[in-house]
Amino acid sequence: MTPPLPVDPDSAAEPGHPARLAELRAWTGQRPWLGGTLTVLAGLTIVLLPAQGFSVVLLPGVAGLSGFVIGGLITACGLFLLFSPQLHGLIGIAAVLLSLVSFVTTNLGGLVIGMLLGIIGGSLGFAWSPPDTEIR
Amino acid sequence: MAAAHRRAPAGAPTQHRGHIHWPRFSLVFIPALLSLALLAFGAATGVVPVALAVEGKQGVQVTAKSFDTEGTATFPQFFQTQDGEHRTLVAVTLKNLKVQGLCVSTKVDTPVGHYVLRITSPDSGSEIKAGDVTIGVDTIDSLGFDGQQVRVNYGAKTADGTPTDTGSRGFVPLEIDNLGFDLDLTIRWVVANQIHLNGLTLAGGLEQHECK
Repeated sequence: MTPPLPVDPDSAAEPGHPARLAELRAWTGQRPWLGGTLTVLAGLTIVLLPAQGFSVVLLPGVAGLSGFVIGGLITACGLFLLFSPQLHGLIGIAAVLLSLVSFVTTNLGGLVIGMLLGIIGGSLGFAWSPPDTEIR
Repeated sequence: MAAAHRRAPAGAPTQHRGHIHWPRFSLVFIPALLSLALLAFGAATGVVPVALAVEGKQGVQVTAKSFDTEGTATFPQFFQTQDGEHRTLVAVTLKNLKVQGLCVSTKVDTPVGHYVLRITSPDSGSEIKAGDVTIGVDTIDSLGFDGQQVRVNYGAKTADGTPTDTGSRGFVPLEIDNLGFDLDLTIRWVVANQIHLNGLTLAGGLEQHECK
């Protein structure tokens, strides 16, 4: 396997390269974007999947509340990974734990799909290393 | 500071982009998968209770060999549909539900035919338990009863043999043996907590039959 090559930030601004793409590349390089995105998708899956195509939007009492709470917390973890990347270790672990909790509290973790996305996303967030760290 | 120690010394190779440290990934991912396997095994054997909440509009056939529960109903409960309509329904709460011989099936139309998902539990032996099940009943479309023996105020007499009231105030002392009933309900939502699943069989496919 070929080790990943160091990335020169100036290479994104080569002639013909769209400026927006360069900005996006620079933005994603500073945060665990893959882990954050998967974690946000996990939370949304847990909140929305059981209600997809259904007609009820507001339930009486606390019916189905756990799905909104756990799914919302996992979504928040994903947003923290994207916008507060310095907290990636703590938030990554929290996302994994919440995903495991969702299995017993919310429709088997969004029919398993949301839970698996959360575990993968949280693990990626935890394992992310910030820029300019030493390569081993 | 710890973060300062992680900075690369001058002249060392560095990356300007963040990267995934795969040993750290496996440090979290593998224990999480092991925990998930334990949870799944526990849920499948009834050791770990799970919670389910379903809302909306989906045809579901439910049959059971027997069930034991304590039921209460609350009316009215309100809910709001996606088009902004406010509707009322009866919320039926079943406590300490125990079911044997459960069969639940739902049919979804797909471009290649009717896909049926069916969940069954054994007729005897292991039973499914739920601590608290709430059903939002919109309408009762049809109702049929079949009881071999129905006794009201049965068995309680005073010392001189005069029948007397039994049970708590506000309850009807009713005994029914071998009760069978056929209910056709429109249910808007179901929430079930503390479910102990045991011996469930899940089957899905175009060749599956619905519960009858």
